[in-house]
Amino acid sequence: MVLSEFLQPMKSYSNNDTSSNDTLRAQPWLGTYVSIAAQGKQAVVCNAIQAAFDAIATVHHSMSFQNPCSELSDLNRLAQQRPVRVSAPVYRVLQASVALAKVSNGCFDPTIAGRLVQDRVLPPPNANQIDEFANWKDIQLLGNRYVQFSKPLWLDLSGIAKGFAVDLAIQTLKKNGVQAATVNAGGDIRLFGRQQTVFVRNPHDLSKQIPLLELENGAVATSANYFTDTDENPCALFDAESQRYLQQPCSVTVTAPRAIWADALTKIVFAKRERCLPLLKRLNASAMLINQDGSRLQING
Amino acid sequence: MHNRYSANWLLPVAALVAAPACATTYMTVEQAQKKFFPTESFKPLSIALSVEQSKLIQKTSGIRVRDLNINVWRASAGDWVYIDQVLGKHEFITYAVAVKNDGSIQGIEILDYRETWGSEIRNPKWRAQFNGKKQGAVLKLDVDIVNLSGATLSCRHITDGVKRILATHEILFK
Repeated sequence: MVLSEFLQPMKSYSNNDTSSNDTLRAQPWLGTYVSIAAQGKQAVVCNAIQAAFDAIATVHHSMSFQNPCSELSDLNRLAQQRPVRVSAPVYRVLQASVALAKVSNGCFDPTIAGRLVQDRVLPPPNANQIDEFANWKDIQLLGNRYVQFSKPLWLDLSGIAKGFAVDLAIQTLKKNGVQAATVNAGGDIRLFGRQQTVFVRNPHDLSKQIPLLELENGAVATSANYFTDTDENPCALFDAESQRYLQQPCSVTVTAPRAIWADALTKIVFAKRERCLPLLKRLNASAMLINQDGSRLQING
Repeated sequence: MHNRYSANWLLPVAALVAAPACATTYMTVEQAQKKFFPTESFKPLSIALSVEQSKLIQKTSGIRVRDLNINVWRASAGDWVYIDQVLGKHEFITYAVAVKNDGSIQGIEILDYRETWGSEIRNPKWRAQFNGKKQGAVLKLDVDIVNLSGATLSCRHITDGVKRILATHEILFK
């Protein structure tokens, strides 16, 4: 690292005519960097972007596993004893998580936090001990936004909540009069009103990006285990069906109309590869795996 | 046309012509100040921490102080805007933290996000390789962090930086 480098004038590069008059903003949320690019009159766009960040902040505060004051932490403490009423967004994300756990036969499972804590991927929460045999089937959605666990367990919604937050941000931008926008929350992207090329990192050389997808009015997410070399970014890709971490270095990119499905599906594709084709079809999604040697596997749903 | 979902995978490009990483400027310092406190005017203060102060900040925040120079603006109604830099994955990220006169955080904005630059991007020959890769469309080069998908990068360094700034604020202005 050359210290003088960051003292030089800031540079940015973009020659895409369609986004040259975008307003760009970024804030740290959901444990990562969230950026929003939106097109339209400056005053309208600035307000809309702030409203979208506020929506993301709500998801951040209610669904954080690490924050002991979040609604999710309340659930992890109390839902094993009695039914707990949650906010509409938390209930929606729980419904989506349970639905996906069911159709993926438990490959996607929002209750693996216990295992991730045990393996120091997640910090231990301020909550009761858990039953190691608990799984997604022990999440009872009782209607009217009440949730109860039939065994002590820890929910972690981090990935799927990120996708949900991106969808919510897009809705907020539309509602606030934005014509075209792109939202990117740490690699979970959704855009509307425009077509854009989406790039992914080359798993073989992380300093490089590969143009991978032409996307219009939809979402894309990538999961990879290439940043898992440090304590800061431990590998959280765990296949709940086979009870093992997914170690082979590759990246999985999934595109779908909504970000909530794109993000969650990346984990399932990582574990199941071609076997998830029926699920991809059902959610109007398709996937691309890039191995470290650059070879690719495309799974079109 | 404007509401329909469509996604087309692009053909692989040869390994050597992958795009280099990127740099994105989101806001200038002035834009950030205006966004946080639109009706106020700003006065820059040039502050150098003493070694003792930096040690105290390090002790109360638990975060290493790597720069003794503090970039802070005082707003006319008593609010504050700090500009700071932290190391991202490879390069420095510049960000602004707005601190209200009661000491609470008004907001955080990333000003400038960089990743390692390659020289290839300025080379027209390199860029030409992307032309016509997809039928009927010229692939546009728009290397912003906004359309880069990938494994999630932790923003822990920013979270730590904000902790350090709050400790600094406490020591300097309370």
